[in-house]
Amino acid sequence: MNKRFIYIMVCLVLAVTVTGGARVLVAAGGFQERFNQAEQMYAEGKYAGALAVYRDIEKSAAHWKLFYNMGNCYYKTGNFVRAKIYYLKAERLNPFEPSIQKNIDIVDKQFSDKIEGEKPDFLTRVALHIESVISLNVLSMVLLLVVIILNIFIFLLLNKGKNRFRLYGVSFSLVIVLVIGGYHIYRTGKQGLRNTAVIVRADSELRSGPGENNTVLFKVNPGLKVKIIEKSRSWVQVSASSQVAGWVEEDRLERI
Amino acid sequence: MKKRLYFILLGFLVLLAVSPGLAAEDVEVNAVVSANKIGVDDTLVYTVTLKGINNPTQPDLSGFNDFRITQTSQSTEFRFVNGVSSYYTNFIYYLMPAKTGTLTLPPVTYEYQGKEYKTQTFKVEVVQGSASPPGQQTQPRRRVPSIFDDSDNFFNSPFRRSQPREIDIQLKAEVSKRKAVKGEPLLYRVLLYARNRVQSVNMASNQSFPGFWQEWFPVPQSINSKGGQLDGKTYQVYEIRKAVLFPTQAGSVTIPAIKFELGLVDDGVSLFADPRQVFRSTPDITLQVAEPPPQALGLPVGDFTFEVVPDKKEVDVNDILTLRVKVTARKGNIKTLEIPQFENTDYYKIYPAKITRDNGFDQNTLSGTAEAELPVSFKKTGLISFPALELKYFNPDAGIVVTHKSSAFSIKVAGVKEKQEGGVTYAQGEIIKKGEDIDFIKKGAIYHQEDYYYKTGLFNFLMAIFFIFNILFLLKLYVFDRYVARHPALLKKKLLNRTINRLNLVRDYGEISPILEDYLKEKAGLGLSEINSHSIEALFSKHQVNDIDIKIFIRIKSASELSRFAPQLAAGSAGAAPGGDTNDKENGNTLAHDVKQLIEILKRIDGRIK
Repeated sequence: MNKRFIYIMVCLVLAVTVTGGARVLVAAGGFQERFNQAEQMYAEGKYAGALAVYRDIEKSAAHWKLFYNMGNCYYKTGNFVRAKIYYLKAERLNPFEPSIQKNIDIVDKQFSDKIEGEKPDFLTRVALHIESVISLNVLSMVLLLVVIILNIFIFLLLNKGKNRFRLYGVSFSLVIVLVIGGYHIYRTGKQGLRNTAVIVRADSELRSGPGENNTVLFKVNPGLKVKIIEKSRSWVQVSASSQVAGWVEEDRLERI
Repeated sequence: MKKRLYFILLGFLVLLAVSPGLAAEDVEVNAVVSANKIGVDDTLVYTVTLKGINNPTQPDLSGFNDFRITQTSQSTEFRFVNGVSSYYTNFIYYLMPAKTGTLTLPPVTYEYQGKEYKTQTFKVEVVQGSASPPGQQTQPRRRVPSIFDDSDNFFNSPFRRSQPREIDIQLKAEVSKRKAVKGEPLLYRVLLYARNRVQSVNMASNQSFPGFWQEWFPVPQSINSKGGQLDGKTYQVYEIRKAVLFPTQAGSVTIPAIKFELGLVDDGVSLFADPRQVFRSTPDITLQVAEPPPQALGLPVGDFTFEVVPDKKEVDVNDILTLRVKVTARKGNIKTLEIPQFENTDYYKIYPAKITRDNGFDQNTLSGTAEAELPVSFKKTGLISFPALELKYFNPDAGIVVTHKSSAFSIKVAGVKEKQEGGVTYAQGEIIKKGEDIDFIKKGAIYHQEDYYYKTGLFNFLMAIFFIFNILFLLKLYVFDRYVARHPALLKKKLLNRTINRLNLVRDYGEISPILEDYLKEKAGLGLSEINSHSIEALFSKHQVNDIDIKIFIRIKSASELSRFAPQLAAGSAGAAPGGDTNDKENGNTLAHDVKQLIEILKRIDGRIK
């Protein structure tokens, strides 16, 4: 096969891959203007108006700055539970932004439940750091690129015959594809998990099992952050700390 | 004595308490109608009079279902009766009946200071046609309301009866000064001199004047007129537009003409007819603009005052203080004025200001205010002083440079400075109001963070393509190559194809022989030493290959060997070969011809040789 044709095809596939990824990253679209407009309203003290604009943007975009600002608006309008929900949403998208944690601490002062959440262990912190540095979109693009590289080596192997360079190329790129592919699967799986939630209804109780007949273990108030462990029908098992855990109706909490 | 003083004081207090009630004017709301009987084509004038109410709002006539309001007007008057003044406001409504019969005008309710006032109910008999004798029509007929309706009532003007058929309308422009200093505010007015009835005025040309910063006054809801003389004739004069112009360049500067489209209404023509459109332009006006004196170069021009006010005198070191710098322009361009600013020091940090600028339009002057809100954070505690700020400007009327200074002030800063966690610094301009981090919002570009690439069709398509390619590769490696490609039928087919491909690539006659030897070696299992003319003939004869093919095969192979080992004899030998084409040989195409023949023979014999 013509060498030039192969190069053109490779460049084309790379260009499509990169531009496809870039499209996702640069798809700011029309919400930037409204985001700035809401900022102006916030500056003028029109928190409810700014919130309405942010909520409109939220229908088509999710960004940690948007959720952070929504948290501020909810705080300013006295809705502390929703403020916390949105700060946690912002934290999910940008886990190591210090200003988010600071605002969570401020809003937590408004809640009566003072339960110290579980601190992540060293490995979890490392994993979170990697996640904050390498976004899922970047990971997807890298995966696609190494898959392309693997296939180029395979193609050369088939077309030009075996040699040491091509064999090592195939072997090495195959290992990289398997490693990155595995991590990609882990990340996408985690993405869909959404196992953090906030208690939103008053007089909520954590029970020993799923169902009204089980013993009440704890009474929890709105604003408490919990981790969802298991689900059984309309009940979920949650834990707020190593000591506070139990089953609660799913409609009493909102997933982050 | 004390008791008497006590009673006097008590009486005085009682008087004070009661006096507002005494001083308060009686409030009355009344209504009158111009007639009790009208024709369906006539207009009924309904007047609501409010007594003793300052700046009243319009009464609510939404309950007038049987009438349509065609026009409204408002007038005010003072009346002096027995030394007591009363303030009256008349709201005049021109109503058209919707049908004939006895129609009811329901009472109008007016609420003032929590109290409700009601007018009386009227019954009006509406008959077909017109109930008024000719020439005694009630107030204006149906016509399109105009901004000139609230003027000095054109209907009472002397021009009404002597309305000229010919158009007599002129536009004039006036500017407050013909000689000015750069940046000095000048009042520019467009005056309409009319002897016709004007219904509408629209600016038909660009109102941008090169060489000037301009601030147009808002278009008024109604335009007042006055009588005026021009060329010995009397006109109604309307001020239709005005602006304040600030020259931005020195020298001879011209205010260009502005074109207006005027809608005129003729009394003699149908009242429902469209107004006649005429166009008029203002004349050009040329001004002489001088540079300000050297000491005033670059300074704002006009008359300004300013002040600096902190929102509190004592503050915690972790709090944000807001300083308000307010500049008021009694005269001058507030939009271009640079507001004096504080500089950062070791004691405090000034963040970028939130600046608001507003113009105020008085009768003939443009005023304005500019306010800068400066958030300030403190780095140290104690009594921290802010220096006086200075505002310099050139006053063109006095011809001097004026310097205004604000007062210096100090703020008491208490508390212990908290260390910022993680050394977080917030981008400038993010501070909106004083307070904790909850008051900061995030700016900058946002995008959909959850619009994941791995969910897009492109990503999945590319991955699928590569996946299929990899699967095919594995199939080839472990299935096709191992089991399919090694099948004898395929191997034979492969040998023939490979031989033909090799023959097609031959460039020299001598290359043919090794290819044929390889073929015979693989095909018939002959050793290299066994391959000669006799063995080939015996092999082919055994598999019923015809004699001609055998001879040609052997001839080409022999010629190839000869060409390989004795090139000079090759041509002669080839030429002697049976079945050879002499013309082709002569043309030098022996090789191509023989290769073609050989390929044909191989295709024929390949199936026979087992």
